[in-house]
Amino acid sequence: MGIMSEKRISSKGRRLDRSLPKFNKYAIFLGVLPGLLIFILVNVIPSLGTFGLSFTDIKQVPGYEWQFLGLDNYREILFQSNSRDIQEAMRRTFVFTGLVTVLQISLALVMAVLLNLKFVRGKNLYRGIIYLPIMLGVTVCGLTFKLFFSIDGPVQAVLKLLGTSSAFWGDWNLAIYLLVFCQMWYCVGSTMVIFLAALQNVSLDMEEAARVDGANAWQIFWRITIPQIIPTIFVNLLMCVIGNLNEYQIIMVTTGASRQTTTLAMMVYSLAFSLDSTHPNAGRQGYASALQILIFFLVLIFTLILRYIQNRVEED
Amino acid sequence: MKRNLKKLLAIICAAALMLGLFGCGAKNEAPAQAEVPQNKEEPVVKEEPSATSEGSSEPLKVMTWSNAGTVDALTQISEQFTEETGIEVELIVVSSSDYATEFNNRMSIGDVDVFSYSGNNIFGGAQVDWAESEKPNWQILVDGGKALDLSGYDWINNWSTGASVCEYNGGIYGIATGAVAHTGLFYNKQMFADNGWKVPETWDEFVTLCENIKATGVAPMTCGGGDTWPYTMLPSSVIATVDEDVESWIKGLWTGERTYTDEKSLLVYERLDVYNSYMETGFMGISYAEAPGRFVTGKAAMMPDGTWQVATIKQADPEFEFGYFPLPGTEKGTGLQGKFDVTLGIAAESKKIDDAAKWMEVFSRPENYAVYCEKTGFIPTMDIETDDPFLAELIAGSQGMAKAYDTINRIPTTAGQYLQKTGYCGQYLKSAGGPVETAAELAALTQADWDAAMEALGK
Repeated sequence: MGIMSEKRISSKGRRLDRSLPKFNKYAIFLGVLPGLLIFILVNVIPSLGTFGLSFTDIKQVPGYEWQFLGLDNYREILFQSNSRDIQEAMRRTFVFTGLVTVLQISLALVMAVLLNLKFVRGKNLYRGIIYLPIMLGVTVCGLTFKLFFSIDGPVQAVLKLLGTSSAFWGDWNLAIYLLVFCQMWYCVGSTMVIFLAALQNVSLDMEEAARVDGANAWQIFWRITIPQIIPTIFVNLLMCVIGNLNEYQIIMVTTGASRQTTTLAMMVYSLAFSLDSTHPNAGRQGYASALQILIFFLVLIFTLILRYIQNRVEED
Repeated sequence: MKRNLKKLLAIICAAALMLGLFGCGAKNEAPAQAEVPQNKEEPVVKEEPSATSEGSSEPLKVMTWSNAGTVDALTQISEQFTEETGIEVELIVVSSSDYATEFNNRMSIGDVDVFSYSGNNIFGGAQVDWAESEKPNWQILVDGGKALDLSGYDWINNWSTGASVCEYNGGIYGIATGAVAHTGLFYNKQMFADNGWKVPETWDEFVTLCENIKATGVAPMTCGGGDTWPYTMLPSSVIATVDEDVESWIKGLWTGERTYTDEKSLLVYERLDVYNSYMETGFMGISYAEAPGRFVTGKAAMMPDGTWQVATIKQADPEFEFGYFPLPGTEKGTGLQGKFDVTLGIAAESKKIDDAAKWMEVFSRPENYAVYCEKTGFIPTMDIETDDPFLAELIAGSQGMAKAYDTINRIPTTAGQYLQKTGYCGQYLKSAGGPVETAAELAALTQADWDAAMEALGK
């Protein structure tokens, strides 16, 4: 039987060889061309455009005769009176990104481990429920939370029963943490799915061997499972950090351009498209472009640091 | 054969993808622009309609923001226009917070024919020699040739202040379709009558009234502070309670005669602090759309807002009885202040200038405009008669109404956040849920922002 299958494969293989045309290396280029064109058109050119516009005073209003400003926008961001506002926005960005990343990764990992256990029943149902917010989209989730934490909402009703109340989104001390909660709740499903995929590829033989050697569940998890999913942890970390440094959608849906939740990315969007028409810099797209370049460098720095740490950890 | 078919399919798919990509940028050749009259006395008779007005299946695009009264009235006028001319109208209604973006995008690509100018300082706050501020958006649009000069059309003569306030560089570039007051408060007439409360005439009376309302367990006021901009109207009304000559106030700040920490400014910050304390809890988390509902349902006895909210309040409860009074000053007699609201213009790059002008003619008929004012609650900018009691009361109360502080204020471009819009940003105070403890601290922060901005300007 074994010999017969080898013959069949061999015979089929010869037939295929005859039928294949000679390999043309330019065919690869032709294959990637449509994707490459789309990438250049919707990603590379706008990015270069943003960089170019950051040296101008271009405004959102049509009819404006814009001029080349050199480094004036960057000088203004770093040294002039509104640089304090940018520092505040940067602090909020770091609080938001840091908390969401840590909480989201931790929670997603815990849930993935639990849903990977053999004895848990109805795993697919739980996975579906946790992943549901991603399918609903950021607008639906944002609006749901906006109502949930509104001053007549269910959380307020509970607080009133306890004899207290809150301004929720209007509270400068609380609003950013509510956003952290919303963002984590919204994104945890996608991170969990990536962790699940990694956990399902963890070598069972190694776990079994460790168990035979007398390792307990925690030791197996910490010494066997975690080292095998290190690359996945870093992929998730990187995605979280990059995504949250650039996050503005959930902020726009819940609190709009309110100062208490203005992160750098939200500030860029708000200024470039006059979301807050009362801001002295509303509509200054050249200035907003310079701010976006600043975010780009922040993302780049964080990416390089994470890649460096990942390489060191993997080497160890 | 099968292999050839596969190749053919692959080529077709690739070609379709490429065509799809490059097809996005395809643009029809613009037709010759319609002849625009230049002389007010002798309008040019347009014998031939513009190239696209008859041949195109595209409707006339009229764009405004989502104010219930405005949308209702413009829909009715557009229906009449379609009935008379056979030209379809697409009324593009955009939420206030997204309006600037969509307006600018559509104007950039010529995708709107009749538009409402964006912003609240329309045909106000132009550049002056004593303030190094940026050109306001309306001025950029007009200087950039994006708005059509309407001075040659006959129907422009129907308007009184509606046209004259839009004069610029010898042309008329819009119609201010109504004036609105926004330094006052709506009040619940029934609640006032039931409790024996009277409309206050001085600041002290106002504070006493708020105390009395608070004692009944009802919030004295509500406000949609969650959308940021609604709160920025409040400082204008508080400034008017201290000094109604707002033009001199602004000039004084620019010339250095006044500061944000002087006696009058401190009084404004202190009053803002008091004002905040009588708002319902968490008002900076309430959206602008929610506020009228809360007022109508009796969750608050008063609502500081602009008179453009009349239609929304009436829609929420047609039986609800309400009035409007100016925030009273130290002494009796503080008047209402406001601005010109929806200001319509015709896009100079429109392919349907003739149709747009016809639409404006229908809109400018006194009988149609009267309906518009009754639905919107705007103070008329054309000489018309009205039977609407609220409108009649408003017209009487707004005689000689001046422009409010926020509509003519000029802010240096590099300014920090404490100078946002008016420079008297009470939303940062602890009493509004903000981070600044006292009025004096906020005044000092604002002055520091101002000094830094002036330094950046080399002053």
